[in-house]
Amino acid sequence: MANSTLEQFQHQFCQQLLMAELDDSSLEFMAKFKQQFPAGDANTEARIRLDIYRNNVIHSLSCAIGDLYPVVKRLIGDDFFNQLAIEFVRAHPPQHSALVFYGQEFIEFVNQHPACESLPYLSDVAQLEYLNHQAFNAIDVEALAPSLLATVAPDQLASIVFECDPAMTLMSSAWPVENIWRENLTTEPQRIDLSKAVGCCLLVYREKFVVKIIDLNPHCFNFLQQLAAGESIGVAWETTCQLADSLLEPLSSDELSPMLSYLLTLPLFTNLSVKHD
Amino acid sequence: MNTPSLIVPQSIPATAGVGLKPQHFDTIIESSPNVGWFEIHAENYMGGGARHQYLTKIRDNYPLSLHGVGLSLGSANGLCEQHLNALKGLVDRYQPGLVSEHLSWSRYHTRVLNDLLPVPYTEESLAVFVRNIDHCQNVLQRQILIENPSSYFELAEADYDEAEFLVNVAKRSGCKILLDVNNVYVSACNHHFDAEQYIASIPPELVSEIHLAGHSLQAIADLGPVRIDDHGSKTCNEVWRLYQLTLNHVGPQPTLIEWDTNVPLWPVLQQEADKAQQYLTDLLREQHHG
Repeated sequence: MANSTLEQFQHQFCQQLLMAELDDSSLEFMAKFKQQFPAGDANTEARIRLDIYRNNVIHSLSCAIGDLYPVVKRLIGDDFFNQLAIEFVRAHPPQHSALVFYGQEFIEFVNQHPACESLPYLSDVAQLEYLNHQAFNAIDVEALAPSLLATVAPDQLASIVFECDPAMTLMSSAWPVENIWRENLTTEPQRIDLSKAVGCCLLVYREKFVVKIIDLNPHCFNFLQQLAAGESIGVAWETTCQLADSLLEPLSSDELSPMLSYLLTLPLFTNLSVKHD
Repeated sequence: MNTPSLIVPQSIPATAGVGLKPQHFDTIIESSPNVGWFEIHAENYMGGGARHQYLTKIRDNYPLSLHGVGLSLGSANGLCEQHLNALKGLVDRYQPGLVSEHLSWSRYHTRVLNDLLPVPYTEESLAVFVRNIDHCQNVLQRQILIENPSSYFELAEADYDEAEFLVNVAKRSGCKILLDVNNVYVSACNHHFDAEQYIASIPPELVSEIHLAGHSLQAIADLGPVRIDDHGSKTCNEVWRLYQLTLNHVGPQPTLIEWDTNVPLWPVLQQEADKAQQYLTDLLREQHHG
């Protein structure tokens, strides 16, 4: 193209596909199209042709968001959801062609959106939906061989650090999100009395190919969160005890062993090493 | 993680294959239907989890073709290395008989548009495709196929028509062509060019695979009917007729039935594949007697 390189063309086309309303730049872009119906109005024809692409892009991506957040969609209704999803897609198009990696920012988008203010639990439900999807599609990694733990000398146990399965994530919420999520996955949504609602500390992980969700004891949740952040068993336990003290629910050192044993029964870790300070 | 098993690359036979959809995993694994091969969209397998377990089982029994929809070979700013590496991972893992992509683009820097968008058919675009395909083939260490897209507008400024451009890309980059007969028909109707002439102008030796699919017809005010390539119905009679002309021109080639939206129950796809297979069988019989 004499006055426009391919790069410029793609930049302009990309803008035209994502903008909410066409403007003067659209006329400039559409002037590049060949007119197939010389008897008709060139602008009208060009606009119809461009709109086919605009619709394809926005429709396919907003449907991908709908597939990812079915419960959020159910809670707010199809029309409002589609409006939100389209707004989201225009502001946050995917950065990767594999759509399995798309849509995490929708959680924060919902959280910040003025129209969602009356549903304070909505972004937490969105987060749980995303973590469920993420766990289902996480890459497959070999689980920790139980024999590996036996190779660590007893005086080094406190220095063990774990590598976690990519499917494993943790989220806490002031709302009973797992309850809200499960009830709204069924065909007949149930009414949940949120006035007596209690929060939750959720562990999301994958066993074989099935995603599991457990509402953990808050201390166990804190401990696992420390381990997942790369802290050694010793440091993770110390921090967990400090948090427990601050809540006036002190932990006894006897509680470490059963807590750790329990976590080791779940397929959460893929490797361990001894951290030398 | 599964222990990497040694899979021997299995070439795709000149028979009818079907695009693999998760809805049909169980049916295919349980009943081993009589189709020649399966094709997957590479991007749907770039994560982990259950899909790979199904695919591994299916790959044990059928040749597999890997069809990319997101590499964006027409991007002026080059390929996404992360995406190319993910594709390479799938090629290494599943050893597909064919690897294909599109004569289109879908990514501008960090923004992905999830569609097969047209480029102007200019010398500059040709050089971009040749450079990107060359890089892709070097990384994958194998030849790829590129597919002609459907399109809804044409650009006034062009050095080539689409068929010339496609052939030039293939000749200069050393890749092959995946001729989508439905796309030729859709674009020919939308832009008023001669579909038969398009097909006749593709050198037969460049074509290594054929796609068949359904499209929809939308009546749009001021423009008349526009054909939309949505892969959501049976292949129409006009496309079957063009398929026959294509086979007469290029000889028997692996032929895929694509169905990506409103995916029907398996028997409908089997029926479409059987129909394509009949065309291929008849062609071979004629060649034998001729």
